[in-house]
Parts: sequence; C-alpha cells; structure tokens
Amino acid sequence: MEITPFAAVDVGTSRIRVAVGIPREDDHIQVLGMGECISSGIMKGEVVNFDKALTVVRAALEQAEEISGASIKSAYMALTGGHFQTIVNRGSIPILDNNMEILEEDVESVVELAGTLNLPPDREKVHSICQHYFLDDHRAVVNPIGMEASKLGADVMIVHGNRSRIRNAVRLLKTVPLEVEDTPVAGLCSALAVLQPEEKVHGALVIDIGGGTTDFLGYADNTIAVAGSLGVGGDHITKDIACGLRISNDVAEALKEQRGTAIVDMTQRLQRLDLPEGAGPEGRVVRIGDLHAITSVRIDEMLAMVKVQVEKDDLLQRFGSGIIFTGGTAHLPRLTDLAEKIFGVACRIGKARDISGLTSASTLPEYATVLGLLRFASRTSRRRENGNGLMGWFSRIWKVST
Amino acid sequence: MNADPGLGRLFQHPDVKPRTRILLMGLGGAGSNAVSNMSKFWAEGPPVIALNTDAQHLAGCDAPRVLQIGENTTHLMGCSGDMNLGRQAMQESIESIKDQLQDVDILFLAVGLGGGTGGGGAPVLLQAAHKMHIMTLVFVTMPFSYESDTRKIQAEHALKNISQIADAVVVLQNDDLIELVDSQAGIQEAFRKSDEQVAATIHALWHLLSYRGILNIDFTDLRSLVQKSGGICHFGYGEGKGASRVPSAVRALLESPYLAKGRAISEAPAFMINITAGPELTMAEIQGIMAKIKSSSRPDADLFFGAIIDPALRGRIALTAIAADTVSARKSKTNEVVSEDDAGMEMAGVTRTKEPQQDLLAFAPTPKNAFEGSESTRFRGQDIDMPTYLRRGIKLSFE
Repeated sequence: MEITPFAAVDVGTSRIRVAVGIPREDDHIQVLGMGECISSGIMKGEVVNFDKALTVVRAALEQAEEISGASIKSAYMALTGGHFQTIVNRGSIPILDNNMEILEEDVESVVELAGTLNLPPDREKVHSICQHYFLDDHRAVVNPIGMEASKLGADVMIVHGNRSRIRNAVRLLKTVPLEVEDTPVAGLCSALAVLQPEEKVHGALVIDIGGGTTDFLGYADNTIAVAGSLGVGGDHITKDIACGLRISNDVAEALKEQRGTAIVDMTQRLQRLDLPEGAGPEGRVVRIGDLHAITSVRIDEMLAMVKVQVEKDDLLQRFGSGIIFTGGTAHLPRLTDLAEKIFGVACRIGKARDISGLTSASTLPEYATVLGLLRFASRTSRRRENGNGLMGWFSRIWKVST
Repeated sequence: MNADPGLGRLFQHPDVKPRTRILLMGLGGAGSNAVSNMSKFWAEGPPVIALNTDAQHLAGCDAPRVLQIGENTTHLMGCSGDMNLGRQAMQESIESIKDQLQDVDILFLAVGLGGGTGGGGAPVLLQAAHKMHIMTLVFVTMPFSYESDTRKIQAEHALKNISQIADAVVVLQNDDLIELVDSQAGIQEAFRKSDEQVAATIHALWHLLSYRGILNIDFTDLRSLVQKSGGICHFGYGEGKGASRVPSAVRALLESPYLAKGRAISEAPAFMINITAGPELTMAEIQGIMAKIKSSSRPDADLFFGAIIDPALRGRIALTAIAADTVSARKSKTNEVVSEDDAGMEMAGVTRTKEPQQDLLAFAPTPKNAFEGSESTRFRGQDIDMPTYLRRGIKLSFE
C-alpha cells in the first residue's frame, strides 16, 4: 500500500516553512522535502498583509513540492499568536450502570461535556485536551475505563483563539488553494517534535521563541498542564536594537545574530562595536555593552512573561525534565544560562527527535514547529484510521469547515 | 595629588582576574571614616580610596589609600559645611579622580550628607563615573535628627541630587544607629558597628561580582534590582551562630533597624540577599534561609540570592540584604518623575542624567510604530512592543 505524504505549513513571522513527510513505524517521520522562504505580510504570527503572505506561502510550497516530488493538495497548519488562551473546564456525569462500571461511552460523554463551553462569539475553540479524570470527585486516573464510581469527572483544557484571525490564517491556505486538514497550535507542534515520551511523564516545558511569538506548552505527569502564546519574539529584540542604536532593522538583525547575547559579557562591555559603513549617525561610538544590555533585558523580560504563565500550581517543580527551547531565537548565546537563573530548572536547546531524510534541518531549533506538525499529522491520521479513539492527549474536536 | 604610596598600603590584587572590577571610595569626613573602618573589616576585598578636602582629617585616616581633593579651592582646610565649596573642590580634582576610575566597572561610594565635601562633591564625582560607563552604588548616611536644620536641609538636597545621578542609593539614617548597639555604648561604637555591617554587604557584593559564589549573583542581577528599585534601596544585616544560626540570622536580618524592622523586606518589590558562612554551610541551610525570607516577602517580589563561603566565618552565618524601596519603585514604575529641585541641581552644578522616559522617546525613532498593523502586546499594564531597555530606564553609553 502506498503511503500518502503529509504536508505541514508553518506560517511564521520570519520564515514560512512547508515540510512534506511520510510516517514510519514507531513515531518516526521521514522528511521528503522542505520549502522555506523569508516571510512577508506576517507580524507576531498573524496575517497582516494577505496578498504578500500568500505569495510567500505559494513560493515555499513550490519549493517543497519540487524537492519532495509530491503534489500537495492538502496540508496541516500550525496556529500561533498572542490571542490564544486556555481555560480548564471540569465536567462530570453520573454513572448509571448498576455495577457503576465506567464504560468507554461514559468517558466519551464526560470529555465532550467538559469540552463544551460557551465561548464568546468572537472566540473559536482549537483544542480540547483532557487532563485528568476524577472518580467520585477524587483526583484520579489516567484511564478510568473498567473502574467503578458513581460519578465520573474530567478536566478538559480548552485552547481557543480569536475567530477572525484563525479564519484569516486558514483562508491563506485555502486560497493557495490547499485543503486544510487540521490546525493545531504551534506550541503543541514544537513539543511533539522535541519531547521524548518519558520526558512528558517526568514533566517538561517547551518554549518556542520565534520571530514574532513565543509559544509554550508544558507537560506534567504525562498531561498537558499549561499552554500559551505571547505576541513577543525575536523581532522585538531586533527592533529594540534598531531603536536603541538608531540603525536599520537589517543591520540590527545581523548584529543580533553575530553579537547578541542573553547575558551581558562584562569583559567585552567597553569594546567598540563596529557598525557597517553608513549605518547610524556618524561620529558615534557604540559599545558592545549597549547591544548586550538591549538584548539581555528584552530576553529576560520575555522569559519572565512565560514564567508568570507557568508558575501557578507549583508547575515549575513538576518539570522534572526541565525546559527545552526551540524556535530561531533559541540560537541566542547564553539563553539557557539566563533561563536557568530565571526558572531554576535545567534548560537546553531542543532538537527534533526521530526525524530522517533532512538531518541538517532536524537538528536546528527553528524547524521544531514544522517537523512537530508533521508528527501531529501522522498521529491524527492514524487515529482517524483506527476510528475516533479517545485515548491520546489531544482529542481533536474542532475541525476546520471545508 | 597626595596619593600615599609611600606607606606601602596599596591594595594587593589577588591572582585570579576578577570578572567585575569594583572600587570603594569614601568621600568627606564621614565617608573616609566609614571606608577606613570597612577596610579593616576584611582581609581581602575591593581597593579602597578615601577622598577629602580636609588634609588634617586625611592625615589621621587609616584607609589603604587617601587622596586630597580641592587643594586650591579649600587650601587643605575642608569645606566647613559649604556644599558649593565641596562641588568646586571636586571639580578641581576630577581629573586625578578619573585616573583612579580607569577600568572600574562598579563604584561603591560611601558618603555622609549634611556637610560640604560629601554633599557637594558626590554629584560631580558620580557624573564623571557615569560618563565613564561605571555603575554607581552609593551608601549615604543622613544626619541625626538632633543636628541643625541647615545640615538636614543640605542633606536632603544632596540626596536628591545624588539619587538622580547614581544608579542606586542606599540610605542609612543615623537615627537608626542607636538600635545597633547597647544603650551604654558610645557613638563611635555605633558608627563602627554600622560601618561593619555596610562593609559586610560591600564585601559580599565584591566577592560575588568579582569571583564566584556557590550561589551566584552577577552584574545583571544587580542592575535588575537597581532598576526595579527606582533608585533608592535599603540595606540590612543579620548574623547568627551555633545550632540555631539559621533562624537567628534571619530574625536578626528582619529586625535590622535599617530595614524598618523587616518592613522594607516584606514590602519590597525586589531584593537581594547574600549568605556568607563558613565552609560547613549546607544546602539545606541555604534552602531554609531562602524559604524563611520568601515567606516574609511579597509573593510577587523578585528575589536574588547569593551565597559565598568565607573560612573566617566558621560556625557563623551572616546575611546581608539590599532591598528596593517600595515608594521609589512605585514611582519608577508609573514613570512619575520625582519632583525636581532645579535650584538644588544648579547648586550641585550637574546635569540630570536620569531623563524621564518621555524625553528619551523624543529622541528615539518612534518605537511605537515598530509593530504597526498588529495588536499591541500588553502585559501587566505595559506595552511590550516598546523596547524593554526604554521601559526599564537603561542608559545607553552614547546618549
């Protein structure tokens, strides 16, 4: 039987990436091709200029098709943007069976009940993620099927975003034209790309710092405990540098890549920073200390913002496998040193696991989202084939209308 | 210039190259006394220089190095409480002071306010240091309440000027001194005690920033604390020994008179605690101290912990704290500019460097539009699209 390749589209603020891959056994993904173009018309992960963005998506898609030799008709798309929020809703149902034994239908209905929430008309649900089941109101179990209780409860995390912005992103792919299979949030994709199964059990937080957004998703006890997206990313560092040193964005971007750091280097503090000729006002000495100060306080603030979101319920202590950084900004030198100081847990740069066919890309943190999206695609389609099973940690309820 | 190398008391640098170079200066009578007391406190510490206009006082000062300032202005006679003279004296000698500041990253300045040399000279000195990209942390002592009104008013003026130039000011009220020692003890004993506590703080910071502690605080942390403080900090010290050394050190710290009996810790938006102890210090003790301090602080406070081992402290634990002032932190947060006293500034002969944020923005190429077309990212009332360094009031060197 021929396996149909999946296509994954990551419309990022700095790059638009299209990956084509086929699933192998054991959660392994073989990448057949990748297209990558510098973004245009995207700001903070959201479409601000539809036509420009469309041109770039088409170009990246064309590259991916050419390299993979596949003809792409449908694709998965990762969603990001500061408008995404989560809410945890608890639902419970009485178990009417005389033996009080919990059946698969009971689990299905309690998850559906807990996942049903009246959101304001401008909000759209993207995921319903079952976190825990409760038997007779006691904190309980991973799989309640076959157990006995008079009441079954479930905590379901609902990820929702601004309806028109989600639709705009989806419309981008539909206009290409592509059929949109599903739209998971980018944080989930990055986590899928880099986390080993045992890391989810021990607990881990994945922070994907891209150009325009910072997406994060944390597992504790094999359950998604926290997720979110902030409208701040590497572009903010670039623009802070451009503003502070009065230079163009391009020069600032190059400086960030070559000399930026998350922690000020005292030994270089007073060294003169050589700006390219014509960049910035003449006769001005810019010191490396200034560049370091600008970049370090911005990244410090970004991490502090994430910390505020993840420190409730002593979650930080439950990330036994630490924090894993992905996204282009993960290249910033000494990021993990700073993060260890801020979060107080071990930090490292993430690398997509179990990927073949594209070894160079799989080792770089900026490809985590698009590669994780391929894994999401392969799992989703497998689940569809197996009938709509409920097990697995992201039960898909929301579907893009076609 | 009367630097006194002849006495052979030049500070000896340790072999390891320090990560951050720190200098401690004492200015004026009180400041010189303080730093010479401090230099006796440690076996190895930052280089110390005492500055004064009064040659007689300097002659009797046993700081490792002394520097006469304003020879032509005051004719070695001191300022007799005239802040204008103090300023002129400093301006006269500023070049030789700049020589001392070469290659320094952080300047600790101890100065007593109310008189002429300290109050008048400090702003000029700090301005020069700022221009040399040196971070400045000033420990000022305010006059006793029974001293003359003139001294108190002068001290307030000087404090205002200093706090606008220095990166951070730690204010010590002399009135709090009496609580440091027995009622029987003399005032010299109280000063010595106070100097010892400040010395412990400076020494801990010097050790942490120059080398490495077992729990590290670095320059960025210090700067972050200083920024959150809005310029004014409090300081406290507590020591404990024996089996119950952890609880007694924490209690002593929280009851420290300079910390308003612990209120300065419980209300501070940010503070830094350093633990100095003998080699027997355990991880559990560190954690015990952290937990106790955390439980008596605001839940949202930013805490910086450092810990160093000092063999001299065998069996004892010393805690030093620098806490951001609640009021000034709030002012800096809401961008309220502390009301200016232009006459006072002119008197000090300095230009203000801590520009209010609005003024800075006028220079900047409209950062607000950098993300035009997208919804602004807001967090805790702040517009995150604005550069962080502007919101945190970081001064860039060429501005």
